[in-house]
Amino acid sequence: MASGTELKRKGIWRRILSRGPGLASVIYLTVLIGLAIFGPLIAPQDPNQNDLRAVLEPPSIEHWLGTDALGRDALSRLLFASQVSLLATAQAVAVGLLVGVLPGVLAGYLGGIIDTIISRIADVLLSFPSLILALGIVAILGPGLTNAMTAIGIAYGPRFLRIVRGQILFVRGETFVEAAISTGIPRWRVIWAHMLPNAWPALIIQISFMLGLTLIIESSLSFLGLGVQPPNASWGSMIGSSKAYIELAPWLAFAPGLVIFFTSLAFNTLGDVLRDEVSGGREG
Amino acid sequence: MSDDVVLAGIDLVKDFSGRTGLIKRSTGNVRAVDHVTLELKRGRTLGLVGESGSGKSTVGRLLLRLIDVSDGAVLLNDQDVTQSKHRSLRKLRSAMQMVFQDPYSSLNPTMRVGDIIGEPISYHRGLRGTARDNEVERLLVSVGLAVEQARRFPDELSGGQRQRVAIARALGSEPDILVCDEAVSALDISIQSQILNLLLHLQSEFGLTMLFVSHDLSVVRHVSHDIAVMYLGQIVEYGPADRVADQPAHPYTAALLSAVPQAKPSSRRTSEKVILEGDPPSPSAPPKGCPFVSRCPFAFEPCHEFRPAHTPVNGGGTVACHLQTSGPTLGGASLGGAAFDSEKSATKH
Repeated sequence: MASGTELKRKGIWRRILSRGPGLASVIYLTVLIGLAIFGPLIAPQDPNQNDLRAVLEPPSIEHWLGTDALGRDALSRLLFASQVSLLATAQAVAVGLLVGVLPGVLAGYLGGIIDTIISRIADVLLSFPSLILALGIVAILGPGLTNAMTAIGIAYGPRFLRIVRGQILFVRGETFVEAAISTGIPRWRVIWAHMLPNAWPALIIQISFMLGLTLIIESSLSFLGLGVQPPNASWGSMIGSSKAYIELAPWLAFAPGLVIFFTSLAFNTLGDVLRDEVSGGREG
Repeated sequence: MSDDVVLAGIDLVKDFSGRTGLIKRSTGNVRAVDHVTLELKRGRTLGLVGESGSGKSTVGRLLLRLIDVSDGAVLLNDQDVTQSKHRSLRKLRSAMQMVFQDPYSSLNPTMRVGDIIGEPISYHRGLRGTARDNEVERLLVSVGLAVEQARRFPDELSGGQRQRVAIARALGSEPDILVCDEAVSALDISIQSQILNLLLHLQSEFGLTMLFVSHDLSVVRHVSHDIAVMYLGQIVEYGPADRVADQPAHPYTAALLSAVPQAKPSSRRTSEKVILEGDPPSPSAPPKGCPFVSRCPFAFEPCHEFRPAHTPVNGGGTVACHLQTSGPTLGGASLGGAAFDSEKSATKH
């Protein structure tokens, strides 16, 4: 029960940072997000500027990560792709929260027939695998990252919905909620200030895991050419376009592959550490 | 309704439906509150006593409409609380506040003390920012806490301090009525008296009307002007605190008193102890006549058949007991109603 407090206090972040994996994840993600934001400023050259005199060059002082089949600087493309990949990932999770949290609150708080209806709709949505659903949406609406990520976000809604509903149900019978109602404050205030904060820890942990999962899905779609459209790149599409030259220029697939791997690992590790710390705080 | 009655519960009934399982099979209704009528008079404290499951806490919740009545009305200054909705209900609630039993669960663990106390202040009185903080500080001081404690989280405070926070929160909307639901039961004995004295002090300072719900008759007697005794969802005895505690007219009240340890064995209790055996009957299958019949040492024929009506008692108040109306038919000698208090036992009209 005290988990909400644990998060609110600075203590939990200090505890996360005091653990090796937590610290490593936070540092990695901070640097990565910094690079994604400031990438356009620090990129050595225009990511779409080709130089047909220097195609498939190995890493060098001039091109740290080499050049691709059109002679574009791989490092510049990677930096710009970071922005695309991270934004797309965040978009999907944000859409998921948007469509999941409010129905979750309503289902948990109101209960009865409304809970039944909302929960059944959520079950139907949950039964679609996210990637297949995204492929279907893309097939209907045409290739494009925004459509695909919105579709994935909607598919995520039920997962957040379940968490919020469960937490709201959990605190609904608590005396402090009854006490808050008895003071005569509005209902939305009771939900917002007294019930929802207890769902945050579980939600944040879930968000962390979902970011890792979404990144993989986004990369898969872009790898297949269904996500971001050329000439722009995301990490997945960089791997996709380099696969034809894997024997000539393996470094082209290597860099985005490693970034996807470490980013996904960092999100999952952060989720693990958060989960440990939140439940550990409850016991201690 | 007379002028000095602030809050009245009229013929309150609360049924809890016992439905269980997938197909909502009815397992019988439980009547937690059975035609209870009570009045809170301005500036006075009514003590509501009974054992666990007697429905006393349910009455408190019905009065504040934390749960809906099955039947009956709750009048706050002649406005029916049971019919109010949304905005008007919240306004009514600001006039009557509750202090809950367990201060460990009644305070939101994710909020700071200052925000817990400040919330009703800002919603009911429109105070924000510094004005709100000043009011929070004033309340903290008036319940005997330090101003700095506004920044604490509830789990950094002791049980007594938490209950003081809960009281300060209840006072934030400047209520007329304070319902204390077992407000000291969860606290250590030494802390209990501090909180009780605080409540008495606040009552005189703010002119509060109080409903004090407790299972502990000695505590209730200490703080109350009047006492109502509940058994199995019904009020079985009502009257001035001293009369009820010194000269109980109902065998159940006498039994409750017998359960109170006496500091000075010689001081009182000339009467025999009334020791109860067994458990109260299930509220889903109450006795046909008097609710107390199954455990009453003095039960006789009418008790099994008819529910006793409330009749006036010498010294003030009323009692619902057949011994009061047909005592002599007991054959007097052995029991004669004398078991719990000799002067009181004789019937009167």
